[in-house]
Amino acid sequence: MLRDLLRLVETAEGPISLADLGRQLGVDAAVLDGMLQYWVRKGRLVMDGRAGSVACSGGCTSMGGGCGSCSGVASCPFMARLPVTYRVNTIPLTVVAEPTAAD
Amino acid sequence: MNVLIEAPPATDAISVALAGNPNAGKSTLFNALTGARQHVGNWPGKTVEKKTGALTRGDVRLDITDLPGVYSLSAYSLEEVVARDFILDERPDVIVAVVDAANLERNLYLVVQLLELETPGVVVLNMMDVADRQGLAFDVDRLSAALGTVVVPATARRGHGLDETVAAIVSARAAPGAPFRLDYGPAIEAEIAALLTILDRIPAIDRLYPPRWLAIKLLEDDADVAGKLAALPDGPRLLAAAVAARARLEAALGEEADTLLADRRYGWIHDLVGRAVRAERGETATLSDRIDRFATHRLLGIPLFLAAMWLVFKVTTDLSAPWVDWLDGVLSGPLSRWTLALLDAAGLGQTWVAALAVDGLLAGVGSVLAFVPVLLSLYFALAVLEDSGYMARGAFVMDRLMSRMGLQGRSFLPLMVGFGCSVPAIYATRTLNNHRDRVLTGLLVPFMSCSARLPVYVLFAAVFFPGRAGLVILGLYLLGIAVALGVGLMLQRTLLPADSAPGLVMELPPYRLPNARSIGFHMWQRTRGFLQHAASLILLTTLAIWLLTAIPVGGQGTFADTPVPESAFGRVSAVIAPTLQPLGFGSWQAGGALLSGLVAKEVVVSTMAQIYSGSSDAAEAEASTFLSDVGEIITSFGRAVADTLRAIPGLIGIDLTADDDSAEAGLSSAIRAGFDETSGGHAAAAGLAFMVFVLLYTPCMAAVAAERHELGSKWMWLSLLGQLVIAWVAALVVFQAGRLLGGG
Repeated sequence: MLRDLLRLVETAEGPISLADLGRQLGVDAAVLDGMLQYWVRKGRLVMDGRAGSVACSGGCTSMGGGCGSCSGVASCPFMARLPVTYRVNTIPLTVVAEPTAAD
Repeated sequence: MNVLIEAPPATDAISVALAGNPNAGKSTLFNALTGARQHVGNWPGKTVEKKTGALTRGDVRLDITDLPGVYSLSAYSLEEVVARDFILDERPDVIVAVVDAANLERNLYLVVQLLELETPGVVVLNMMDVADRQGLAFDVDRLSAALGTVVVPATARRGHGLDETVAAIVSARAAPGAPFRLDYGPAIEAEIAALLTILDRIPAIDRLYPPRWLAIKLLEDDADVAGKLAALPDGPRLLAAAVAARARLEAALGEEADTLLADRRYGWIHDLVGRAVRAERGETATLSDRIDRFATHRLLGIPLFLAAMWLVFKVTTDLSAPWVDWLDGVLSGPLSRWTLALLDAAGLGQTWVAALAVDGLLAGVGSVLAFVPVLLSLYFALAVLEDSGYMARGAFVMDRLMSRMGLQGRSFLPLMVGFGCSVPAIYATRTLNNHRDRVLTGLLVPFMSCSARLPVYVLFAAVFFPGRAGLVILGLYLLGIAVALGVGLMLQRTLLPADSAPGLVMELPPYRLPNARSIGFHMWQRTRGFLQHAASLILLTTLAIWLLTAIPVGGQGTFADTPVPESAFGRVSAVIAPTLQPLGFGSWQAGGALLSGLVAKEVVVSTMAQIYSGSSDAAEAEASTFLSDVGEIITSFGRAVADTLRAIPGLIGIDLTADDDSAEAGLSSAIRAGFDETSGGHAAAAGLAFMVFVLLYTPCMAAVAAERHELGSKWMWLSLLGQLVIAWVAALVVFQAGRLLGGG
């Protein structure tokens, strides 16, 4: 089931809702949530929360105020509650802290 | 404060661990069992809350520990580590797995992992009342047989099933059944068996941990378990054997061993639930499902979304218009007169200070502030859509549209942010996972009509298209999307060829009635952002524009007393005016407003207000008293309330508003007259072309800086010049087409 889920996400043309995915796999959306989280932990999927929070955390610190500051971001009408999304992680996983000869 | 009430000593104490998913009713069961006999603290060295309590029944005492709510025992989160360490290190006599009966399949994943620890267990099927309401029926015996443990139906919050739970705990401790064994299939079972032969050689390993569980964890490459085993005799050999076993499984089955094990658990649970749970009412679609059949329909979804957005702009323009007029009247009338009177009293009435205060600040910043009702209306409508859950559906259907047109579907999220403000939207492209997607999306963001452009649309739509303002504004937003799609497709076929577009899963929240408090909060948050912007950047730009209009260049005037066409601003603006002539608005006023709009789009309106207030010969000194001004404010307020109420039926096509051709505001009539002159009598076509130009040319300097920061100088210049060219060509097409069609 886990692998079927990943395959469905990887081959989906366009967005797919959690409910549709559940119907295709014959499982409840709550179960799917757990399975999607599994793939997020494995680094095969990436979960995006609200776009606003991502933009704020990335943008504010480097902007130092003005239109892109947090107050500016808060004024964006579409910022607040966009849906949680899961997407395929196309960035290859790399080995972190690989020992070197010096170690 | 920690509260501990010691239970009386009992002859036999059973240590019990309560485990379960978050929101499975675990704490409710804990409270129901232990009552006031609880101790609340933290796990040693952790910030996770630890609750212990006791229950005494006859000569049996239960010492109960409420473990943190977790979804699995994979040791990824702090809560998972705490729960797993407690079970492994403290070795409770019985584990009670609390599951939400209405979400059994998801909850069973943790139960299976708990049972694999081979500690005697009891499964409490909690929240049976909710499951009953959903028409779920459970074959408890079948569940119990499959899990190898007692399954107790319960509704802890009503006290149902508590006695049965206690009895099951006592009997599980007294007579534990055979350890739970999930059959992982021949290949995996063979590797487990091979690891078990090595584990058997480690002295007393079974007194530390269940060997089969260790073998499974080794196949899962569990770092915590590996660390514990490395120090034991034969540990290194065991770990080497585990590495080899995992490699063999991956080679044979084409997937990492931990995924194979998890996949098998999910499959086994799904099969068990299919056999042990029956939906007596069949598969009943929820209200959200039924609405989504239309809202996310492949064909109907987009027209419905467009209709919703049309309603948003209808609300935005129609309901706010009376309040814009009222605020504008107050700012340009009584407030300006009071300011002048105060300055007169201070002896500054005929100086440049008065010009700065009235023609600069009040005319400039005030004209932008007059649009606060527009933004409040917009934020109200959008907050309703968000809070109801519909906005997520909008994102879904538009995402699908973009995917079908060959664009990266997930790019739509930053693009939607662009409807609010281009700058954070460009930064939001960081969420995209390859450079090509980031560049493409960053180049398209400026075509999404940011909220700063809205005051320009509202002003011009009211001047040139009264009664159809909502439709015109919606059309502008759609034009922005269409241009973005076109540019996206063009770039995809030229500079930025498409790569594969992997799928995207969206979690659509259930629909719900909007919450007034939440809507109010979001309206305030966003309006506050706009006001802060007005108090900083717009104020500074207004001051700069006033200064430029006050400096005489080549005329007879003196500082702050010169005709605007003969000021520094007028002269500079006049240079670019000829390039705008084919677009129908080749005046220095329009050119100057567009030039200042590079700083921020709201400034277009404030600049026009400053220019026309500075160049207007209209007498501002109407005879009035303070009391008559206050009276005017109050009566115009009442008129605004009445006009708003009359506008509400208009949202569904019932027009109760009286035709009111009188008293067209000074700025509006000046704009109309100016455009009439430059367009050769085709003012409406020129006005529409001006709005299209504002929609498509550079949003603001902050957006340009953001593009340079995120995409680099090359793409920034392409974007800047591309937007100017596209805006010019589109405005030309609109004006010339309107002129040929006779648009006056």
